[in-house]
Amino acid sequence: MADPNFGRILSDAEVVYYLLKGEKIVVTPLLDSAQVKSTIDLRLGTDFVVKKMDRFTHLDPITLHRVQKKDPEAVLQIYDVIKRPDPRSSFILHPKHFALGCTLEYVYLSPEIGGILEGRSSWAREGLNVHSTAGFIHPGHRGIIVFELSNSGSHPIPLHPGMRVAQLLLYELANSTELPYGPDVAAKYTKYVATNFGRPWEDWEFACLAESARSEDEKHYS
Amino acid sequence: MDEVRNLFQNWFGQLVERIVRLDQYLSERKASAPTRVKLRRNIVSELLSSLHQLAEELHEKATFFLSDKSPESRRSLYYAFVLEATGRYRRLHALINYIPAPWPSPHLELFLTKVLEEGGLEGSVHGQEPMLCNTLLSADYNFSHILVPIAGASAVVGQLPLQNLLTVPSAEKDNPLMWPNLLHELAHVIGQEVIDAAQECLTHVKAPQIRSILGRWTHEIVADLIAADYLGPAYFGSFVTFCTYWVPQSPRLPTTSHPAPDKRVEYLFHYLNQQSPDFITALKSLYADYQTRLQMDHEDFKSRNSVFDAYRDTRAADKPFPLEELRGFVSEIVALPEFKKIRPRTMNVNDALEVQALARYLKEGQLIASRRDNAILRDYKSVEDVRKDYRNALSSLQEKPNDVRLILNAALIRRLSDATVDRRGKNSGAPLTFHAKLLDDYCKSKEIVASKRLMELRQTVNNLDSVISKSMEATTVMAFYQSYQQRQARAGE
Repeated sequence: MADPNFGRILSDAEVVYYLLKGEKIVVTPLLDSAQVKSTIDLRLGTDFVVKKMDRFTHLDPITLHRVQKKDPEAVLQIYDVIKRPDPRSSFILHPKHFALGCTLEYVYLSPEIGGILEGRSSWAREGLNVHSTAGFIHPGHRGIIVFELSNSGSHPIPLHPGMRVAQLLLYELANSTELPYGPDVAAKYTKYVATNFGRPWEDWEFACLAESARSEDEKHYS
Repeated sequence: MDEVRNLFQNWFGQLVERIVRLDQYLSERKASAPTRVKLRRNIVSELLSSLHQLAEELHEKATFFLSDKSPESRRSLYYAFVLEATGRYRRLHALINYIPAPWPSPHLELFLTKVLEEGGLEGSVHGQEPMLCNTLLSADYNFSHILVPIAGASAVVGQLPLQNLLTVPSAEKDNPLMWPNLLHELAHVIGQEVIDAAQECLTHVKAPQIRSILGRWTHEIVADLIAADYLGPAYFGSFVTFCTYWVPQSPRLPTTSHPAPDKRVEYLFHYLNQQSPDFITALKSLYADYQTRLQMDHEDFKSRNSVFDAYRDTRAADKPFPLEELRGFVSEIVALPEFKKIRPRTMNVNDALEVQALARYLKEGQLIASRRDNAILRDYKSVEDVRKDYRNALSSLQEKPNDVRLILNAALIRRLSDATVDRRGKNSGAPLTFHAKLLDDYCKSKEIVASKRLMELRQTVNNLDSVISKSMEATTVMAFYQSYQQRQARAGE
């Protein structure tokens, strides 16, 4: 039977204890203790990825799945561009625009600790979203956390590297996960230290879907 | 034979790494070209194909070399091959000058600014009297002054200021371990007063020939000393890497503007060893490779002279300059008040310990921007302990950023230490015996130039670079917080 003390959201003292121990949770660099409450405030890093919008009409994962088998990097360079503004300046996120960003912090969670990423209320009130429906950080995660930044407000927001834009709520599982996110499972986004591109077309289901689409095409043209 | 084997292994590995970097740079340029240009065969495609041809040849030789079939008697042939391949890579890289280059990322400039700030020269680059340093992508590390001539402009804006141009090899713009070489170039600017003072010291050198040579070499010697003072062994590491694996010419060759690299390595080694012997032990493997190359160079000195036509200045090479003279001159420069004025705190035993601790953290992609050491913290045995003393526990989480030079040195030491391999057998984060592993990976597949294979190699190379860069960025951003907090504290007092 599972221990009733486990399987719950961590309190501030527990977060501090685990951070001090540095075994179950590592968040580095942490500069100010004000970052740690019952959640840990996360700061914005220096790399941003934006989509090239001037050349392509749409993003078709099945076509991209076929292309990436030949040259994985070509796909990324077709659609995405990395912006690395001077860390002393800012990246302007305009209303209704979307960009990927990353945390300044490196985060490690052990197999029994998971995280939920959420925005900070101050920035949420200005319309800044830090994730779009993908806020779970799996147990076993290591590396930076990627933000899916979008501005749903009415004014452009200058994003300065180092500003606190998000918070990480931590929970402890009732039992340690058998397959933590990382070396033992096919984890696409582990051990990164800079903003990484999204690669949905690498998912296994697209191998089947691409095959089925090809046979449909053959039927159609035969 | 082991030493020679290590040298070749690392040399082949360095070449592979540089090919991967150049391939990546060219691919980036190709991807950002206008769509119509991509349809034609252009210079980037031609360069890529020549590069892949070099990769194929290298693959063939390296595979044979690693298969233990290479007898000792053939080492001169291997030496000749790697020299030729190094020269060919250099020529290919130099052709990049014909392709429009992007402005380098701000990281290079930030790195230079941060290092100077840490050394106490805050504002030298972006202060009230800016030095106007610009960094450009080019074929080699270099420094030059230019005066921009604009016809008719002088009447309107007056005399335009002198521009200081630093150049960095395009393919190496994201390789932090070689950034210290850029600091050497910047030192030509910040050390101008020292150079002037040092040249005045030469009046007591009686032999006019030696005086004139030393006068010209002063620029390089001063820049070497400043870079070594600001970055410690990290500069020595990047310079020795450059001398050992990057240049096809003999390290024994002086030119009219530069002392022979072997002399520079010697006085730098001596200089750093006086300051912090603990660091030098960590660089043993790199230094051993350099010594081996020097020995091989001595054996083949005359025969290669005719084969590669790399020794145009043989007259100078015939007259080896006495090292003692240079060492004496270095001591004089260090004692100059002008030098003391710009000298940072030199690295000591405590730094060595900190660097070793940081090098341990730099694994599996872990950032090393923080200075927190669990060993010196109060030991909290349970959550209850933390609850009882919550405020103190919370404040002990506060940290200060590390210096960029500590991060660079830790990265170098990590790179020279053993590889860490995860369960899937892949290099994770900061691997190394980097070159041995890279070369091994490189030789596993026959289709080396297939883009997927190069992509994997790129990933390996990029992982380490991005960990180091990210650590530096985090340090830079954290430094802003720190300076703000210090200002607040001062205002409070």
